[in-house]
Amino acid sequence: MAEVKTAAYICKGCGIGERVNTAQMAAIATKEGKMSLVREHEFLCSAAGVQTIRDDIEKEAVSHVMIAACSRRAKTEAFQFPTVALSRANIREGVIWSQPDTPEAKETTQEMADDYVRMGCAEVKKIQVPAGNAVVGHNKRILVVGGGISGITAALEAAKTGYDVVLVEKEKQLGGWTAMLHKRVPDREPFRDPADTGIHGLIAAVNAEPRIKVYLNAVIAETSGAPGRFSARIAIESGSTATEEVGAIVQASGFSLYDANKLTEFSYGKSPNIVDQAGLEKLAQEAAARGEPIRRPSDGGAVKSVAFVQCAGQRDHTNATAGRHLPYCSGFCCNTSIKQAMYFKDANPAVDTVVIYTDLRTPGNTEDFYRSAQDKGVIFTKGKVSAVEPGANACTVRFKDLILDEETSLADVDLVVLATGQVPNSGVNIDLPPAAPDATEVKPISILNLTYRQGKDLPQLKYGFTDSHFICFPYETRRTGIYTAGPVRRPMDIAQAIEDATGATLKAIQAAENAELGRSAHPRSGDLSFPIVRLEGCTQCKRCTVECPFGAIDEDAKSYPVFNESRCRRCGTCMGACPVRVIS
Amino acid sequence: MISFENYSVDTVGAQLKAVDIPDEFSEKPRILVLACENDAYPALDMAGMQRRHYSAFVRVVPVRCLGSVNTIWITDALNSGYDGVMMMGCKHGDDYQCHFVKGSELASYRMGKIDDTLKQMALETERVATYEVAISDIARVPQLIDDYAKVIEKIGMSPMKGFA
Repeated sequence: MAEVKTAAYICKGCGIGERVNTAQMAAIATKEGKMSLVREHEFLCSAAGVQTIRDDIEKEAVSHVMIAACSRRAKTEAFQFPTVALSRANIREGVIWSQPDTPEAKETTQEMADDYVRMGCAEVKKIQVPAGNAVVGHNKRILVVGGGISGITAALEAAKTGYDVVLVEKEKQLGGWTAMLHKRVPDREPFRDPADTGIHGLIAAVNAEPRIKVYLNAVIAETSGAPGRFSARIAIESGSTATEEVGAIVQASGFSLYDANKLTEFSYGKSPNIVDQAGLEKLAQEAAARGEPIRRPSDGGAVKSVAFVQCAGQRDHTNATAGRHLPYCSGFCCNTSIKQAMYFKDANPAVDTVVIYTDLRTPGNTEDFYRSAQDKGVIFTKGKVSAVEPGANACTVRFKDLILDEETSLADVDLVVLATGQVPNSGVNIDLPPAAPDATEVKPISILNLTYRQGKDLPQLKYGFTDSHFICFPYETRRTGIYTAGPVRRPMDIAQAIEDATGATLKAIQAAENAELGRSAHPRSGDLSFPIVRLEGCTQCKRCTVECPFGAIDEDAKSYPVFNESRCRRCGTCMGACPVRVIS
Repeated sequence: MISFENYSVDTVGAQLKAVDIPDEFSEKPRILVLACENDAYPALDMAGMQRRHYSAFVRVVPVRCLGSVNTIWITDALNSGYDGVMMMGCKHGDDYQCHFVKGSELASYRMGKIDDTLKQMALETERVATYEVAISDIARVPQLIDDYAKVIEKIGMSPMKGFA
């Protein structure tokens, strides 16, 4: 390594020179900080000031620079010297701006400034310029897991941006739930009528795109590696397997509908005339194929009256913790019921359609879709359904009218549609202890089958949805280079899933590009440093491997940590965890 | 042991040990603030930009995440004669704001055990305090500092000065 030559620069600009004695700070940098070169400057971030530092780096072979000026968060472009170690003493925001400009405060303000100079000098001598990660992968293909509207969007967007895609779908055809819809909720003006899903065009576009390689009837049997060098083993139903090398992953594994059989009060399964929303779409698709209106399933009779039960098994807080059913709102189902009511009204305005809701939620411009339904004669009743009683061909829906505050009912209903919610297909909950062997519940099947020390799938946050940094980085998961999109991340409709998949794809592309350069993903975007472990003294306590929030550290056969630098976010949680006491 | 080339037990340890600690009778306590660079440190900077004043007894060291705080820094600081240590990280729990998701939660878990260390050192448990700070806490952060400075004033100067 090159000779160490230290230099300290003390700025007098922004009022620093008037408030504190910079000559004294310079003397401290020399005597206590032992800086070999110390300069004061009137205006350090000016072109001339920056040039002074550059000249010293070039001509004086300065390798370590301490700048006492503004916060390290300010003037980052001016004070960017990538070839040298750099520390910043925060004299502006941290001292003169946070202390009163009074004669009484002068002494303590100066003490603060002096200490920050001492600290900056001490720090910079311990810093080395990051050499960069040597173990980088160069693969930039994007693996998309799931071929519904989210996965199709992700694949097409990645291809359009110029990246190759591997798309894996567990069913025998692409399209997911969207392909099972008769029509979709409109996503553009005038938001008046149900719209074509467009899914067949999208599937055709995927099949016509040379950059996209599609596996149908296929699941991920194993995922190993790190951003830039993931390896996915794909198991195909026929029994064959394929291995694909990819740089980043978009998990668009979607949702399952909440099981309406659990809603015994609504008599699902006791009459074919009680269906969930997916059941109604099936009836609508079949009717459209026959070219006639939807018929009553029990006897094929004409449908004269339809009731839609909103929040069926959703927003349930019947017990203190989470309720018996889903505690959350799935967000898409109000619009879906409005759309389905229109299937009937558009075919025959004489059909009675009643939507029984507690709160009608039509996000964005779909408010106009709701108004259109009112114009078409759909009745909206604010109420909470307590029971559905099946009859031979007609059901009775009992509910509490929340406007009149009284129990009432609808009789002679030909078709009852239950708006059940979305349950994310998140795979295995890695935070739960392995299930007991006699557990009767159906065990969830892993989506990614990661070989990571910390478990097969992505960590979950609430209600089984995969964890994502809702506030700052919505697409992020706790596995670097793996991004979730669509209802596996949070409940959402088609329009939101398309936007979500587009965003997640862009993040996946960034991750693969950053990985090749050895750079961190955000929040420390571009950081070239990575954890360096000295195994002498390691007690194999496993704290770093257990506590890494990003599953970046595996263990070898002897329980020593094995770092996967490209998975690392550079937070240093492993450093905080390490109990090995170094000489200090 | 684990380190980064530009961030390690040494880079932070050297900073906190470089601070000049006035003696027990100076009435000038020293409070180390380990502030998360994602939210707490920007909030402190913004407090300065808005000229919100706070105690001159604090010395702030930015950290990558509260999860990266090694307890050795705390014991080093106390052994060096600091009168208190404030740790400022992001909110944790179900509606977490930690940029590294679990860092601040782990820090809070680890610091839950620091009381024993303090007792072994015959120090008051108030000498180490952890706070959840959001980037928007621009007015709150100076208040937290001043309130903590009052706590230190009340419990008095650390008896550990002058030994390191």
